[in-house]
Amino acid sequence: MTSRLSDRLREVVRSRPPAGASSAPEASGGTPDAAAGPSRAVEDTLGGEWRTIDAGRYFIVERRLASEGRHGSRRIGDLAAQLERSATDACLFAGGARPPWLFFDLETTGLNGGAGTLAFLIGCGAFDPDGGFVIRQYVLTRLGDERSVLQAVSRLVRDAGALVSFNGKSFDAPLLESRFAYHRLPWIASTVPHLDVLHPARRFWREDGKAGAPCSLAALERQVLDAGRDHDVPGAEAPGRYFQFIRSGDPEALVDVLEHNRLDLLSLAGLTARLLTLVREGPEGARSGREAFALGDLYERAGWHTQSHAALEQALELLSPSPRETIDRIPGAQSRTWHSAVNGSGPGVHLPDTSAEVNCFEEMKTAMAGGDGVRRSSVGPEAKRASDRLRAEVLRALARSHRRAGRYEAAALRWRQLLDGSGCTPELAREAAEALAVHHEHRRRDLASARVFALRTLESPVSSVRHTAIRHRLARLERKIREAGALLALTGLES
Amino acid sequence: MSVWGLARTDAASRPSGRDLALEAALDRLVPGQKIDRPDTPDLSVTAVRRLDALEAQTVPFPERLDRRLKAALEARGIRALYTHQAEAVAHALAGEHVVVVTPTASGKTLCYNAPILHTILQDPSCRALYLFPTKALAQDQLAELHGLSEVIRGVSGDEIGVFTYDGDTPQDARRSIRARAHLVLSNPDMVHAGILPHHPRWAKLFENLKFVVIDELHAYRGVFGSHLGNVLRRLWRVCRHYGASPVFICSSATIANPRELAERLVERPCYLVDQTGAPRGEKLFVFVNPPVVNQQLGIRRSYLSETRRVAGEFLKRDLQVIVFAQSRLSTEILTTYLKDDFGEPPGGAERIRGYRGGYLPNHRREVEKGLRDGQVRAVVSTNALELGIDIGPLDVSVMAGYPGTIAATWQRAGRAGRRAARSAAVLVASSAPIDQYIVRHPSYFFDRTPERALIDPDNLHILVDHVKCAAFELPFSSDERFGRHDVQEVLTVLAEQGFVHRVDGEAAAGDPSGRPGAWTWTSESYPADAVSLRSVSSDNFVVVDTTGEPKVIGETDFTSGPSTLHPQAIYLVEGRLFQVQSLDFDGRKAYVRSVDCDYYTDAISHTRVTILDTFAQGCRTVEGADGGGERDAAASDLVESRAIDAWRSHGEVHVVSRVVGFKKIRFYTNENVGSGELDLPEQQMHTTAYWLTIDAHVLASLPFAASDRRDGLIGMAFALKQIAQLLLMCDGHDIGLSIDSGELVDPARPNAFVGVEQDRLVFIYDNYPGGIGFSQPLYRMHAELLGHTYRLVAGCDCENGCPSCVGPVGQTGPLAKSAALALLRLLLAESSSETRHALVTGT
Repeated sequence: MTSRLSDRLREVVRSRPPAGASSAPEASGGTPDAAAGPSRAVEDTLGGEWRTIDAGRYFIVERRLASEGRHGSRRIGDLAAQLERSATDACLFAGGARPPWLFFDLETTGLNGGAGTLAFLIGCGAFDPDGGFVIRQYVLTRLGDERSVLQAVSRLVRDAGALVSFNGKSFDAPLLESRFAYHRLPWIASTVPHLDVLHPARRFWREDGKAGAPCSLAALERQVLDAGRDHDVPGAEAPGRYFQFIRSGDPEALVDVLEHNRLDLLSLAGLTARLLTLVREGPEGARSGREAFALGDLYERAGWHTQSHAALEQALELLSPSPRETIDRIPGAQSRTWHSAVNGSGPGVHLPDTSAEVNCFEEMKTAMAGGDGVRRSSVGPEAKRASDRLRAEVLRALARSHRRAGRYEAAALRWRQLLDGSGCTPELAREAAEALAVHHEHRRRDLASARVFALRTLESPVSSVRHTAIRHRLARLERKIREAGALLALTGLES
Repeated sequence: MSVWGLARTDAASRPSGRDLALEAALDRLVPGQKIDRPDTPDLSVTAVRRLDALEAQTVPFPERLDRRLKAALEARGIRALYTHQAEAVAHALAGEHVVVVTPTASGKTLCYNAPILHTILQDPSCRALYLFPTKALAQDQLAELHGLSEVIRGVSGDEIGVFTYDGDTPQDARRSIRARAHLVLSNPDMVHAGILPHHPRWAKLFENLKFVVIDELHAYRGVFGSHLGNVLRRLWRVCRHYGASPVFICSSATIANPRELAERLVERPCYLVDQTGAPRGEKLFVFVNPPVVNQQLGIRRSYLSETRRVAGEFLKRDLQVIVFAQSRLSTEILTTYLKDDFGEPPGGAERIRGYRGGYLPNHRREVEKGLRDGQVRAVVSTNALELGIDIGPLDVSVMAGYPGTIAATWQRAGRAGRRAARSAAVLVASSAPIDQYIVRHPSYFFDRTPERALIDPDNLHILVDHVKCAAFELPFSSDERFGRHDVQEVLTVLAEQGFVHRVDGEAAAGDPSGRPGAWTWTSESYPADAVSLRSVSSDNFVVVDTTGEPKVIGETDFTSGPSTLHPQAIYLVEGRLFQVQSLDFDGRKAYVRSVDCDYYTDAISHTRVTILDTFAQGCRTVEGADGGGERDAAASDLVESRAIDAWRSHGEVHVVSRVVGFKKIRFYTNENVGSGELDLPEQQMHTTAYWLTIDAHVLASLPFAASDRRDGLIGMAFALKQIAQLLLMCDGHDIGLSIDSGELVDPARPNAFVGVEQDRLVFIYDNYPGGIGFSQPLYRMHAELLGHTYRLVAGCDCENGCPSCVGPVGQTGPLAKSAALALLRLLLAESSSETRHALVTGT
């Protein structure tokens, strides 16, 4: 099979970028085709069976996890029950979402999308009436079966009350939609509500709360569900293993991929149960400031202002840095004490000169850090910073919530705490200082303080439009102060 | 009749002020010259030609044309079709692929818009895809189509969705465009990397695709065209998947082979419409050669200053002028010159504007509008305005330097007087050999058909990339074809590398109707991302400026990297000078710093060409102008007939080149002010070449010393390459030149000329891996090549050689010109009378 053209082609192909390490064949040439000695091995190795739909066949692996089984710290039956109880709260995450839930997760031949990227494994999970978790995995053991696979999946989707995925809105669903379009099959999933757990998971559980930080399913299942995996095959290896199967016909490499996919589906169900339970139970059930804050955010979007405010207060409490708390792990009393200490500095809020309060704050921090000779040993500086940042966000949300409700003094207090706390970013500082400047100018009529805060807004980098607005405010304040001064002088003269 | 012989369109009417101004300006340029004077190569104005006005030829709208479309066209003042429009519409609606050759302002867009809008109005599910070579042209056409669709909505209430889809389209708008667009205006790059690989998302478009428009077809030559041919092959495959079979409508500027090019790209028969029915205004075409200021060195007055003077004559008389410059830098320089001379008073509207790539879209729209409404009196542009952007009718087009091809020159000239108005075009030659050849041989330009656009979609490098993309898009069936080569063999090799896998029998993913087997994509990569349509290889060098914070300021393709980015090389970006501090060859990065110096660098490279395979050979005594290949001497005859002196050949070669040093050349004076040695890795490439074999005894018979004979050979080769470039309508870096013995020589003395003469081979090779289709045409045009080269050198004013013929005298030796001429005469003198005739007449 060597010709002149072949030789020149080899030269050309080698001068181009390679196919990618993970997809390189084990041995070139001489490998049997998938079709050669296949189906028996596939059925035995993967533990599945062939089914027919319309004129075609497809391969499916089905497993049922009994309700007594466990995933991390949960019974599977409990997950089913939690989901059952919280069904009505799901609409907070996805409009119209209702049971039965269809959890789905794909394994694909690449992450780039496009017509050449296949979903070689479509994993679907659902709870049965007895609290068991049934997983159906549609495996593309023969490339020509894709159309049948999609038709089968389509029937499953049709009967679902909602689809639940992890990053499915951005990845899995568009990819499947594209496969349906490729075969010119109708994409019925567009009419089914879709709850993508990734987005709430970011708000509820991402460790450092930083936008863009990774938030993987594997990390979440450890953190939220206390579940771990042994010998898990990383998702990134899946395409290579599939190509290896396609070239060699040996399905062995797919066994672990199927297991990985099943665990993903189970964790997805676990996270969903936890989310819906949180929403139903409210902030009392929150285990961290972040969870409570995310709840507040969620309620706020739903227009539930009262519940939102309560959740934010709970978040603040959970986040308040009390040294005792970290030692005793008893939230509540101590942090309240600390709160009143801050509140006690109340008069400082009115002072244009903030140094007094800053000193007060510094003292607090010193006390926290070394007062009892104890530091949070388990919490690194990175986590501390993240927690401070989150606390600042909570204060901002609270301040806005108070302001909306017309509780201006309470709002001013939160803005002030925000401004003086350590997690305050320049943007937050600007917003807080501006709010305080407005507050002091128009409500308190404390022009000197207003001026100090207005000046402070200039410390953060601002856009030129904003800069002009600030200059205007300052000019106005200067004028008012001058007028007030003149008036004072006048009254002084008269008296 | 004036001295200019401008024909009055209406004998009774008096000349307009504009006509008088035009006449007066021309009179200043060519005092007292009558229009029908002979060409005068030695004067400053070497040629003046008048192109007669043409009357419009129209026919009524075809009966079958949708009434709503007719009403909309009438509402826009169009009451009939030009004959060529009617012809194009009729054939396109009959389902034939059509290529329309359209001079500027002949209403080309109606040739495709009319059949397409008609079809959509008849059946709103129909879709069309428009391809433009640039985003700006798509935007321009979008505005026109929006206008037309607005009128249609006004007339009948029918909604026609027109959208551009390119790199600038916001992500969130894309889905709705895919659903709603009847007409998608895009470019080949976007179709290649954004649409075809995602064809399922575009299922609605492809299922209903009735028409594909390729506008500015002539822009797709060389590498770009070779890529487009493959993109269209992929497009056909995807259309087949969705059961569509679109009709292609192509529009091209005047080139020699529009139909051949269209058929090469579309790979189906195309109907040619090339008789225009559009009216044309009378046009004067003037060639200006700046006067010689140093006879000995052959130095002429700067063509930019000359352009300034010429443009000034028209501007002074309030005529609206477009000036075309050859580079971004000269655009800026000329803009500055003209602003100095004719700038507006402070606070006034800007009358003189520049226009080039790199300006922001808003800026460009503003200039275009200023030109249309007459606010802007002169625009200085790169080739950015050569294509069909609507800037309204201008009075004069002035070209600073020969645009490089006959087709482009007509395009640029056409930007003046588009709408049947009287106009002028002036070409100011630079001292480049091609410019000098054109300006001194006006009939070469005026009497010749424009160039052929050459492409090679079967270049293996390009083909392999697109086979990968195609396999990603749809599995290849095991009996499928794709281009001229056996694609099954390509797929076999790709399978060895793990890109695809062949599945047989019922497991195949191919057509369910029982194809024998299929090749499926088995790689995680997205192959279109690694392929740029504008180059053969995506491998390139990045230029990093480390003067301040390191930042990337440019890139250079791999082939020319070492010669332009070697250590100490001066690298120019928009007139700013940088010096290369270091070249990371493996990392493909050059680190540069901003410098201030008065020289640039010119790399010295050694190139060795080895012949791998000779596709055809012939002696010069048998070729005609068309060079019938069937008369080629067979290789075995070659050995017997050693008496034949010069041979032409073309075939596959191996090119090894290495940059061994560089020269420092002072700006303006071009003196050599220093040099350096370099040690850079070799670059190797398989490509195709044309070569000329000169027998040892021919060389030995030259009445010159050995070193002068060598100079003559080098000088002739220098001129030969310039002419090759002219004939091939390609850029200077598209082809490479090497003189070699064709055999392995003493590596210690590469290219060394020993005392005893040996056979010399002059190679002109395609400077792209795999070749891009220049060699065979050169082989065919061998006689023309030699003849034009002789006329270039013989006709040059200089005494002993200059950059306009055999190269600057300082570099080529004092007798280079004489020896080159003697050599060329010798090669020509022994030609048959048939060939001599071709050489003398230049046909």
